[in-house]
Order: sequence, then C-alpha cells, then structure tokens
Amino acid sequence: MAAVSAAFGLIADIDVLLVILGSAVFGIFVGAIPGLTATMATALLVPVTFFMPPVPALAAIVTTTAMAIFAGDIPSTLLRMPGTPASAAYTDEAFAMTRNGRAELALGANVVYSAIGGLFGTVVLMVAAPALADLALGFSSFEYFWLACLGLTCGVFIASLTPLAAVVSLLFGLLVSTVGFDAIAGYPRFTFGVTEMMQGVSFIPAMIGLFAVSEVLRGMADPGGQAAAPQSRIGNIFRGLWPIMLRYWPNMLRGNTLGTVIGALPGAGADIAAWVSYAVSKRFSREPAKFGTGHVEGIIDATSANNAALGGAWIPALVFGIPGDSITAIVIGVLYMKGMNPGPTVFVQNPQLIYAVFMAFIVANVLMVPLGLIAIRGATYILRVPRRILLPIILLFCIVGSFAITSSSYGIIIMLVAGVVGWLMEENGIPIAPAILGLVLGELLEQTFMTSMIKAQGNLLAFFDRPLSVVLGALTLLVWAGAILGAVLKAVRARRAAAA
Amino acid sequence: MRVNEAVIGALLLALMAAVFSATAAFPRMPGQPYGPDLFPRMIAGGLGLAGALMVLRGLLSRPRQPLAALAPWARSARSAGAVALALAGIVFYILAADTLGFVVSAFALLAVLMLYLGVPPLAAAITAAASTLVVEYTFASLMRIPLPRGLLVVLA
Repeated sequence: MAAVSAAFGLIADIDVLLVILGSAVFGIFVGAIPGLTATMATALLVPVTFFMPPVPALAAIVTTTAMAIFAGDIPSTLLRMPGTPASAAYTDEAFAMTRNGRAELALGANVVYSAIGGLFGTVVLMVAAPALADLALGFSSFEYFWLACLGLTCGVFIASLTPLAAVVSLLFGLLVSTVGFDAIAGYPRFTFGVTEMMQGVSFIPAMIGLFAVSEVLRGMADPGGQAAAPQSRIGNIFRGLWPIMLRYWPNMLRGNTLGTVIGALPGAGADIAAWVSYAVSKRFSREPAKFGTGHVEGIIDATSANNAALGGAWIPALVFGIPGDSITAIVIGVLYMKGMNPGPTVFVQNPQLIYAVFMAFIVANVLMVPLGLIAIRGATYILRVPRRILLPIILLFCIVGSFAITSSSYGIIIMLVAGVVGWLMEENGIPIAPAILGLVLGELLEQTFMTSMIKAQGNLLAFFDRPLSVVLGALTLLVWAGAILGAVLKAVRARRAAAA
Repeated sequence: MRVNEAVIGALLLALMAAVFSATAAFPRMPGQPYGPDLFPRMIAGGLGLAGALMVLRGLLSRPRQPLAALAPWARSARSAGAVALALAGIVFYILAADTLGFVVSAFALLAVLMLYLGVPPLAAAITAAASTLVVEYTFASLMRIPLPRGLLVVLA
C-alpha cells in the first residue's frame, strides 16, 4: 500500500500532469493525421523522454499512444482515411454512418468506448502483471528461452497473413541483433572495424527508421494523398449514445476482453485486435446483414478492442521483457534506459514506478473524453495541415531524434539504413513488425539459449527438465507443428484443386 | 521496387553464405563447445532455408512474375525524384551538419524539400525557419542535446 501512495505522489505532480497534457495533445495530433501511427508517435517521443525522470517519461508514452489510437478514429469516420492502422478495420463502417448523417453518433461511440476499453485493459494489467511476476520470479534461463521462442512464434504465425515473409523478417531482425559484443564471450561480431558498432545496432534510431522514415518516403512518393475538407459542423456527439450503451454492453465486454488478450500476445497489437473483434462481432451478430451499411455494433466491438489492447500489451513487456506489440517494443528500450530493467524483479524493487505507470493509464483514459471532445471539434483544423509541409518537418524530427540517442551521426546513419530497408521490405510484402520483435528479443533469446546450452552441456532434453519449461516448450512446438501442418494441408488442397 | 520472390530468396542464400564465412574466424571459449558463432549461424541457417523456399516458390509460380518491376509511383519522375531528394537530404545533413551547423543544414533540408513538394516559396521559407528554430530551442536549449553549432560558433 505504501507503494501505491508513493506512486500517487509521483503522478500527482504538476510537472508530470503537464507532461501528460502535452503528450495527449501530441498523441491526438499524430493519431488524427492519416499516415502517422501510434508507434511512430512513440518512436519520435523517445528522444524527448530520454531527458525526463522515469515516471513522466512512461506517462508521456502511455498517454500519447492511448490518445493516438482513439484519434485515429476521427479521420476514419469523417474522411474514410484511418488515422492509424488500428482504425482501419471499421473505417468503412464508420464512414457509412457519416454518409447516413450519423457522424456524431459514430464519433461519440468511438470516444466513449475507447476510454472504457483503455480502462478495462488497465485493470487487467493491474491485476495480471503482479500475479504473473510472482510466478516469473521462479523462472530460469530455460523458461525465459521458451518464453522468448513463444513470443517470436506468436509474432510470426498469429500476427501475419504471410508466414514465410514474416519468418524472413523475424530472422533478419534476430541477425541484426547479433551485431556487436556477444553476450557470453564478449567477442565483437560483424562490426566491420567500426568502433561504434561494437555496442550493437542502436535500437531507437532503427525503430525511427523502420517506422517513421519509411512512412515519410512513402508519403513523399505520393504527397497529393490529401483529403478533402471533412464535414465541417459536428453536433452533440453524446446524443443517442445512452440507448446504444444499454443495448450493446455485451459487445463492449467482448471487445474489451478480446482486445486485452490479443494485445498481451507478443507481436499482435491494437490493429489486429480491431480486425479480429470486428470479424467476431459480425460472426455472432443477430443482424449480420446490417454490417457495412453504417451499423454501430461492429464499431463498438472494434473500438473497444483497440484501446484495450494497449494495456494488455504492457503485461508481457513489464513482467518478462517481451513486448506485446510494436509500441511496447520501444517501451522496453525506454525501461532499460531508465534503469527499470523489465522482469519480475522490477515489481519488487520499484513497485511505486509500476503503480505510477498504472495510474498514468487511468489518468490518460479519463482525460480522453474531454480532450477527445475538443479534438473532434478541432478536427477540421487538424486535418487541414498539408502533408507537403508536414513530411519534411517529420523527417527533421527523425534526424534530430536519432542524433539525440547516440549524440553522433551514427544514429542518423542507422536511421537512414533502417528507413531504406524497411521501405524496401514493405514494397515487397515483407512485414516490418516481426523484424522489430527479433531485434528486441534477439539478445534475450541468444543469452538464455547459450546459458541453457552451457548449463545442459548440449543435452537438448534439459530444455524440458523443469515443469514450467515443459509447458512452455510444448506450447511453442505445438504452435509450430500446427502452423506447418496447416501450410502442408493448404498446399495439398491447392494441388488437388489444380488437378481437378 | 518490387522484385520476384526468387530474387529475395537468392539474396538470403547469399546472406547465409556471408554469415558462415564471417563467423568462421570467431574464437572459441576455452573448454566450451559453443562459441559466439553458434547463434548467428543458426539464424543464418534459418534464413538460408527460407531463402531456398522463396527461390522455389518464385520459380514455380504461374503466371511467371518478372524479375523486377517498378512500383506505379516510381514511373512518375516527380514521385521518384521526391523519394531520391528525401534520401539525399538525409545524406546531406549527415555530411554537412558538423561544418554548417544544425540551424543552417536543417533550414536548407526543410526549405528544399518543401519547395520540391510545391509549397509556395515565401510559405516554405517561413515554415522552414520557424520549425528549425522551434526544434533548435526544444532540443538544444531545453533538452541540452549537443546539436552541432557549426557556423554559428563563428557568429557567437
């Protein structure tokens, strides 16, 4: 309890509250501009948080992402352009409501259900994370090895439509993570004689490159992708919301639960949560024919799910150091920079910091309703900033941000290379997210693998010696077997269909 | 640029070969059968396997895909130029920032990109100058990031 009141003291500080407010405005702005994602907002925010104490730094990230995921719904509803990929699942539905003259209701549902979803994810995080941390205190290198494997596996097979391309992306990320001193012998690998590469490929500039620079390059190729002015007058967004809340509360609960669980799975984040929840909503609806014509039901499921996923993603990130989505992949880097190395011990050593993060989640989601209201009113102005002015400025932020991390042009060079690589990958249908997961988890995976191999003297059966490692190992192998079996069956069926 | 899957696969196989030859010289820890080469080699092996699969898939796919094709945007000189200019801008900043300093190089980068994208000259100059100064103030003055001063040292 002492930790909770200490946490309250940390968060109820005027500086921290100002940081939260500023991050909220930043998050809404980035989220509302199509093409700029919540992950990109986080990547651009990290250099700024670098110079803050841990609590405002983490509160800034929490607030920015929560607001960005909600704000993505605004252009999605008004212009049929999702502000972030997390809104893409129900863009057509929300825009159909706008065409039917019900934009207010769609936006009202978005803001209210986003806030509730965010709070739901937070509550699950508050309950589940400390409990899991207790369990994780007994983990050895074998369990961590399997956990890292399971995380990578989920990232490939659950979160991706093209497993082979995802595997390539993941392995590429893992390979890049081996650059620099190795964890066991301290031998510098693949450094090409460059001193700065001995510390490895700096993670934040790589993220800025992969997510932000590649997006800027794509935008430069098509700067005319500017939308027409949206519907300019927005009425009362809360009118007619109450009957909907009474009628569709099971949808809300289902979206919240699905969103939190999907968020907690490594590699799958808010956007996948929204797609799955929308599909589930349609599948189990009593009026599936109404979907796609401007029906609010699927929007409720999906907009609840994408905000709930944010909290869920922090569970594995805080407890195991395994990111639940690409945002928490960056967060793990920030935690290390702040000396709060993720893992079960952080709950013992710095419980007040963890509770402060939980409180930041609550504050951010409560703030979402009034700020969301203002943002919806101001949407017409936000959406008018031309991309041809915005893109060069974002590029400058990328450069300065990458420079700030390494204090040398090494960071900018990493950013440039990562930006070009990420852009080429996406052009060729290779997803970026698994590469990030590999880059983040590479060190943990190699370290636990090598430690385990040395402990076991090369006896692979030792990986299944402990009760928990059996469960985790079996689970990983099952997912692999299932995926391979599925691929073979699909190929056989395709061949039969071709022969017939 | 979109390339055939077989090309990506061949690149991955080459990457595997490169990793194996680069790790061959890695030292072993005395008394340990596993050295710093084990993990990179396992990863490279996986990449090679995936590469071989991609080569097969690329060669067997019907109708046959071209080895490389330009994306629609790259056929427009204007779009391709914008991408090239953005990349050149980053390279320019890396090379010039230490001598010219942050303020001059950032302003030049912003102004040139905005002019190319069709922002009117006066608007481009004002927004470029304003954003450069805001970034300089927040990053260098507030957050104490040692942005290169370059020419401004002479002025001060």
